[in-house]
Amino acid sequence: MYSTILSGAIYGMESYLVQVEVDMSPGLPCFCMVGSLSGEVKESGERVRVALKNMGIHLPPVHIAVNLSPADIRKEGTAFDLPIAVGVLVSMEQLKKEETEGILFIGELGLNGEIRPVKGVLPIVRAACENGIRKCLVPKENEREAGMINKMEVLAASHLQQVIEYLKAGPDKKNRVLSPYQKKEREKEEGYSPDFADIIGQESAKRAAVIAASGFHNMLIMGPPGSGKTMIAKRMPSILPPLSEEESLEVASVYSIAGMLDEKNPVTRKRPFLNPHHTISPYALTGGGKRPKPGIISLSHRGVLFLDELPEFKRQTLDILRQPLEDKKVQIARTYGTFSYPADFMLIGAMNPCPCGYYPDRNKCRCTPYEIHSYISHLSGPILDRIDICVEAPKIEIGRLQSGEKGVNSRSLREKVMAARRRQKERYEGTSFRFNADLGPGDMEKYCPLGTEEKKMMETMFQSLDLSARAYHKVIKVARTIADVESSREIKEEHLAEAVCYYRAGEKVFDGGR
Amino acid sequence: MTVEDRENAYRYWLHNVPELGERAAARLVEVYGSARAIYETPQKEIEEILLKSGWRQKVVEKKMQAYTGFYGNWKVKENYEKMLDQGIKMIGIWEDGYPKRLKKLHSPPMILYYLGSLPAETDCAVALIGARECSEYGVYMAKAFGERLGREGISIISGMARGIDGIGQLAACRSGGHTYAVLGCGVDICYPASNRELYEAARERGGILSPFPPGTEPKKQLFPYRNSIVAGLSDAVLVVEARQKSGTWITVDMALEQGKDVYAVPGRLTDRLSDGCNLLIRQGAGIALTPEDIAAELFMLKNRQGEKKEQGENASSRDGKEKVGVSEREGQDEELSQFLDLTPKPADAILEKIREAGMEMTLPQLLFELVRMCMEGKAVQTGGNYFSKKMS
Repeated sequence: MYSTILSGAIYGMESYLVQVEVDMSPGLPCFCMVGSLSGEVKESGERVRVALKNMGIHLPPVHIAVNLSPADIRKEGTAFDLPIAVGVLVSMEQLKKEETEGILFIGELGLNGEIRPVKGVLPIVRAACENGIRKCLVPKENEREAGMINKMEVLAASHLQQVIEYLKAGPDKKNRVLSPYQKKEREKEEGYSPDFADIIGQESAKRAAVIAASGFHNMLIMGPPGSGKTMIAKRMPSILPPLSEEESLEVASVYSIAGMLDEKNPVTRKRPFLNPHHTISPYALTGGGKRPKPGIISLSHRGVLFLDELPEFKRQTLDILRQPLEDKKVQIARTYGTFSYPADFMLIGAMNPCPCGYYPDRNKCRCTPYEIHSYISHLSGPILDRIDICVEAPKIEIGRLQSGEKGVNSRSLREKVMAARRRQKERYEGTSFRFNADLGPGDMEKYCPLGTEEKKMMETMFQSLDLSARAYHKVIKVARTIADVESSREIKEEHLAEAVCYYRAGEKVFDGGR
Repeated sequence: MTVEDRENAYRYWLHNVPELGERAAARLVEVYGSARAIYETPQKEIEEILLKSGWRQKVVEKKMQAYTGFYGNWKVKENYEKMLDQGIKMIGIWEDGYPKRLKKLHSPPMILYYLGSLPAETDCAVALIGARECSEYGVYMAKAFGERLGREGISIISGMARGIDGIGQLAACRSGGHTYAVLGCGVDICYPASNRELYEAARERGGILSPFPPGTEPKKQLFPYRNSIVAGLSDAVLVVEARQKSGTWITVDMALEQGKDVYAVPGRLTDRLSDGCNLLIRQGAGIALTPEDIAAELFMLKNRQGEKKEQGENASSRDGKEKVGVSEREGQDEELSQFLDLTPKPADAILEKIREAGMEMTLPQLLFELVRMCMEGKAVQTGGNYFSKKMS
């Protein structure tokens, strides 16, 4: 007898539905699987056969054919065990066909019939929901993850026996066997930990952090060892607005595909923060493998990617960031096809200003101008181009550390950021832009107009401070964000002046005039 | 070719013989009377002379080995003319015109190579020396002293190094003064390459000198000897900025050995870069408060105070107005600038000081004011967040 069961699979970031077709017909007894399958999917037949046997169900000696449709996409993973087993049972007429209709099955089987968790449940369930499916059966461990999708009735089982019982039970008894997952009220708001209040002093760095967070600008922090560069970067997620429902799903989907979703708390509103060590390989950053898994940049999607000791990273590794920083996604081409993962992250870099770390404190720093220059020039121009804000974190005196004073806390900083974001949202209503950082040179006239006074100031500033033409757009872009933070409609002179400081720190006109 | 020229060509050859050393060369000249005679003497004989003169067997063997290898490869006439074509002149210690001051050195260079000219015997000369990695303050002081001493007609002698040396010399050139750069390499090599402007300027407005033959690469071990010549050529040594341990001390020690005056520009006690200067002052060095002080004392030494005194006085009164770092700022700028320093300070620290003084100000406001002051040339921005007072 022929049966068909609904399941799903992921292909890169895309998910699609799979029809698991099982047919039993007279002939030489065998268990034959087709449909462009990879090794672990082919092994599925063996797992199903043994699991059923151990539950006392023996396969009849007939020709069993299993097809996973669409048959032209290569299937991977172990999520097809459960639908195949159910399909076999339907074909054996152990289960009624009608009972399985409209339910999405995902899960891996153990030889004893136990159902084990799989990767990528969230995106599959999400795709199913979009296709009008309203019921799914997933491994117990993946319950919360699947439960993130509203409108979907999520059933979770830990053993094949439960599934059989559920499908056999009458409509009124079903809920007693497996009850649909009840979405718990969102856990209390995540705290602000770590909090900016822990950082003493560093007012300019904090200010820069607020501006960067408001306009989603990439930021570079320079400072001597121990000035708190890493502390500042780690606290960025605490002032960025919490993830929206939609964003939260996006992030969870990426983590689900990578198999890194937190089982107990899959849905978080806190933005991801990743700080890879500088020995990281280019493939770990973008995502690699025959069938690429999401890399670090995709895992920091909608969050913060922090690169400490920026000049220590290999140049090739850093250069790989260029495309994702521009396109907000990373495309990886393999023989099987091109995979695209989201990578809309905020880049924060930290570095010492010179090899010894103490420039411009000439009492301590004995680096030659050449040494300083070659240290900075480790960073390729295109990367620095994509960093709008640069700030120096000076060393903190010991006296202040012992004073026990507290800085501004993250809560009040986040409020500022949210307000600035609201203003941007209003301004970019109906356009493809979301933040000031997205603006290109061509959009300046429209969104960042300058008054006569301000234009004059830009001119004098460029002459007297000897700035490059490249600086022009960056300065105005950042000034726009500063104006948003200060809730000013127009860009004013003081906004431009401050923006220049964030540009100059990166430009490093070292030892000018000497 | 004149007779002197021919002899010079052979002297040049002798000076270029590797491993021989100036002392051995001098001894050979003493014995044979001329370098040409040495050239024509069989090597066996030279070896004997050296042995008799007290050099040890092993040393002589090494010297002679190098000598033999070198002998055939050096085209005496061509190489000499090639050097002259490059505009490089040489003067031997046996010739007239060799700086008399150098003869007082413990081991004066046998031959001095130079581009441009040699310092005149009657001129006053000051060695202006200091740290290579210097602060804003050092830059300003080197400029101020270099410029005004140059204007007074005092030659600035230094090693053309990065930092204080080069800055002081260049300032002297720009103000129309003379400067002489003594190199630790051949005069045909501009080291450090970043001082190319000074190299060209010094050639025009003074000279480039070196005790080493053209083509000698800059080597660490050559610099102390270079420093002793800097000290030897000058009437006084002025230290602008130096750490407690520094190459500057070699020059200072040599100047003291030669009985020359040493002046130091005082600095703050907290500045590591001024430690050397402050220490010198404690040990009895002259305190360089104005360039004119030094000029006046030098002219007195040279018994020329009559001609120059007037000028010196004028300069002092002029100095009163120009006094370091004081300028006529008004209103807020005046107030703000008192929180600035000569060394770059982060905006955070400036803000804190302002608040301590009881003034209300936010960071963006402060940044605005500071950037405006920079635009008007009243302050200097280093990097993005560091600001200092503008000095010159």
